[in-house]
Amino acid sequence: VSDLPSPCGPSRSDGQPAGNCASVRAELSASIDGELDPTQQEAVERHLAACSACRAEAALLRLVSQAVRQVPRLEPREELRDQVLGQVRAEATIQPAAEGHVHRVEFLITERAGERFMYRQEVGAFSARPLPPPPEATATATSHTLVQWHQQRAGNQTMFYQVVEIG
Amino acid sequence: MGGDLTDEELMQLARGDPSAFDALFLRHWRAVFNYISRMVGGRDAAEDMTQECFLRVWRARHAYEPIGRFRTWLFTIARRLALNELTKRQAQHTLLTGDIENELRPMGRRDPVSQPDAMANQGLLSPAVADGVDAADPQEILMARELARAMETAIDGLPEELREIVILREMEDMSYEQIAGIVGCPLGTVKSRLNAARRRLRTAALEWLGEKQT
Repeated sequence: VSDLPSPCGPSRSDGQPAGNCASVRAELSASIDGELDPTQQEAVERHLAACSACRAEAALLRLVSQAVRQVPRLEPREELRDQVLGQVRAEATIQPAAEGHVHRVEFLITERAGERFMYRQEVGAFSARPLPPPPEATATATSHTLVQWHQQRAGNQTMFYQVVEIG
Repeated sequence: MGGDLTDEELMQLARGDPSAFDALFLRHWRAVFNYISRMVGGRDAAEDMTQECFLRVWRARHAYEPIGRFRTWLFTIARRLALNELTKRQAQHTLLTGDIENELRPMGRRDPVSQPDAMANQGLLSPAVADGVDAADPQEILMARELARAMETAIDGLPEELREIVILREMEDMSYEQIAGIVGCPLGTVKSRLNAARRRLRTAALEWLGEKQT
């Protein structure tokens, strides 16, 4: 669109803009976002100054863009915040595992939407060295001595967690 | 905590101080939830993925290098989770019906209103309304809300590769460069996808206008 004569030519028989208008309209979206380089932007503006059809199209795209920005955001439940920050706090209190060991942290979160949820998380990042693949088959309550469930309040729910060290 | 600190500074502080992570989370959790839920739909699934996204960030805090912008990295993780979920759902859908076409819910190609300047030239919505300025009259405010609702439906109907670009640009106000970083595509692709998405939204806006006038 660097050198556009104006005004533009007539529309084609299929209703699409002809010649220069078509190339300008391909740039309108980036133009209203300010994402064209100065030369391209100037060429588009020069064309719009002389072409009422493309000017109207630009105004319509701007209106659509503004309407989309008015679409309300979908909001998460406040409980999600408590849940995530509670889990972060719980993980932050875990001491590093012995070298070559993996910590398995089991979270039991109660009363979320009237149901109970169990989360099992490998927390390998707390180990001092690169870890072997977690031995899934051994990570059961019966094959380990369970430490006591720790309890932590997280907002309006109670979260329990335990740390199991897997050899 | 976090008032004047950048995301990148907070992320580095989070290595030794969980409250720095709290501040980061509180800055971005609503945006991440909005992005994921607009991509995949369903509150419960979107909340689970939002949680997973931030826990991944938390667990990666020691490995984090502030080379790029934190927000780009955060949304890259959110996007990966959302796309994995969509892929999983499509696979399940294919298994059940052998037809994934409906899952993508592309918009129709109807364009019954051929005059693009209908709304703009008729002054249907003043700039004040479109900008959310209080000075607009109640009738205009109502129409702006209706148009926003029409746009919401139209966004939901976009194919995911167009939908994500619209959400990141219009709702998260990201630059083309940031979007390209998140989506992992060239700048030109962002530009052409956003243009294609806006053409479809424009068509939906004109359809909405056509219905208002009948």
